[in-house]
Amino acid sequence: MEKLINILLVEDDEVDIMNVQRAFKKNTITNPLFIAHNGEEALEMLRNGEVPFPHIIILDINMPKMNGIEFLKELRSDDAFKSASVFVMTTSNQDSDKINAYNFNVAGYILKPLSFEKFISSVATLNNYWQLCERP
Amino acid sequence: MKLLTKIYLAFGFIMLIFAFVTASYVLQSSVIETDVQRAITSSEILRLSETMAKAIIDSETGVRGFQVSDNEAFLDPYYKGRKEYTATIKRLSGQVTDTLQTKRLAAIDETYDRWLHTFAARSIKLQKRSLQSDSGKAAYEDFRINVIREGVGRKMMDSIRAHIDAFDKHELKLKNVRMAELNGTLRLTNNLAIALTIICLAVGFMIIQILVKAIRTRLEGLATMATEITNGDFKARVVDKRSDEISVVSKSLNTMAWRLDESFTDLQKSNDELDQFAYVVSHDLKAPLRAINSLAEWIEEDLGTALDPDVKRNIDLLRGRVLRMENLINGILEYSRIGRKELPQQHFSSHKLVTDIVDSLSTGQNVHVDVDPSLPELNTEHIFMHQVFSNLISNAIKYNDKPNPHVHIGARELSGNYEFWVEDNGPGISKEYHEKVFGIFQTMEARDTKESTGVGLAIVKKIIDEKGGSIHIESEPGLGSKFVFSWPKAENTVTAATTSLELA
Repeated sequence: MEKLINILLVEDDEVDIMNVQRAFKKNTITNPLFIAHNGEEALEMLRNGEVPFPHIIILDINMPKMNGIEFLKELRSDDAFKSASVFVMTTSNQDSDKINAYNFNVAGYILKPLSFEKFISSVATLNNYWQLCERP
Repeated sequence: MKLLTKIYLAFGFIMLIFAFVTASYVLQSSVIETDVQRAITSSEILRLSETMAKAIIDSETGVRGFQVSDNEAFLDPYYKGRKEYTATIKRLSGQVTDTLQTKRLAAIDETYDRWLHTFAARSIKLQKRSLQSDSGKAAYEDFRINVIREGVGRKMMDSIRAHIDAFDKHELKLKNVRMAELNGTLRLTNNLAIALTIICLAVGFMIIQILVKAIRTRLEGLATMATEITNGDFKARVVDKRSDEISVVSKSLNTMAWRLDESFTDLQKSNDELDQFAYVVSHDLKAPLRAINSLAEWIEEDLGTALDPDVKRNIDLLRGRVLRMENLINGILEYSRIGRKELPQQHFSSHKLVTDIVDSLSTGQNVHVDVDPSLPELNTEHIFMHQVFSNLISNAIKYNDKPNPHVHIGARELSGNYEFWVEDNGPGISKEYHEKVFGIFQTMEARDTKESTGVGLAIVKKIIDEKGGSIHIESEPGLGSKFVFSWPKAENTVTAATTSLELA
């Protein structure tokens, strides 16, 4: 049986969470989806082992309590999650955010598109990446 | 010490040396005068001594003449000589100051006096008596044999002559010594004058060199700092530990630089705040919009075929307005960003830029865009020029009401800038709106008819203003529009001339 990669979505906006869930459903992505509402919560879930390995993180930048960049900083300083795959997904088109994110060795940067259709193609690309990862 | 005090001191010192030169010259002059006077006195003494010798010889000649001739008329030179002698010896003793000479003169006078009384006067008296009586004759004869023949008178005269000789010789020696002294003094005066003048010149030159060097180095420091400030380094400061007029200027300049730096930092801070604000606007205002759009889409999706046409129309309108809102937010962001960030300058062909824009715009089959090959290559901000052309060209196509829209892009080179134009065969703009269309959020038609934000031309105008160019419209309703704008050839960069001070 194929081993499924676990996906942790770190996102505070309810509509954005729904957006991802709908996209998964539409593209028949069956990987287990875990949801954290901010960086702190996500770190806790990862450290508690709530999200089993292997996993991929989809990360929003603007969040309450601990934002995406702060979360990345914490994550990269933890030996267990140094090499975790992180995709940044945000509306911020600011250069400084992109540079900050790439400095933490992220796998990709997805600018949140306003229309749902465009978002689906982004998720499809992600899906291809996971399938490549799942291959032994 | 104050700079002026230093200059005063330096010049005062030079003047002091000059005063010393003058004083020593005056002093030497009086020394020379004394020497000259003494030389003249010596000459006078020699002359008088000659007269005296002549007078003595005259008086002796008179006595001899009488002795030989027995004629009293021969005694005239004797009397004259005696008179002359008395006058001369008086003058001579008044002139002679040398003690040795005074002694010699006294010896002469004493011998002559002895000659007069013991020889001359006695001889004349006895001879006169012998001429009158025989007894006198015997006495005279006795005198003649015992005194004259013995050479008593001649001996005395010889003694006088020897004294005069010695006197004259010594006086001549004195005169020569005085002349030598005079020459020496003259030479000393000349040498002193030359030496002092040279010292004065050397010291003056040295002082001027020191002053000039001190002033120049510091002025150059000030100039360097001013240049640094002009080039944008507001942290530049002048180090000046002295306290004079130049340090006052240095202090003022430092204060000025400090103020500039402070204002610049404030400006930087408010710019950063504005950037932060723009970031917040872009993220936080757009997030709920995106959510509204997604929700509307899902409602439409979930209702599927059960969707009422009226509801569908309303949902479409809702999503259209959301899109417009997002465009407006993007427009404001873009508009506010112009001029706040330094953009890189590039060398590129404006012809290629425009053809690329035309290719990227999805124009209909019937749209004809004509780009002049004369569009120049230039060195400027590529992003700015791209924004200007893409706004103008897309407007020309978007608002065109003709079945066969035609757009022409041209350019020409002027002395200080390039002139570009975008011409179309669209509806045209009436004169009263020629200025108004460049205002932000100004649209010619209802926003619904053509989805437009009214930001495009405002961005175009702001960019051109920022570049120091100008834009205007040549258009009349129904006759198409021509947007003409100028673009400076080179940046008017403030290149502060590196001022090299030529003081010395």
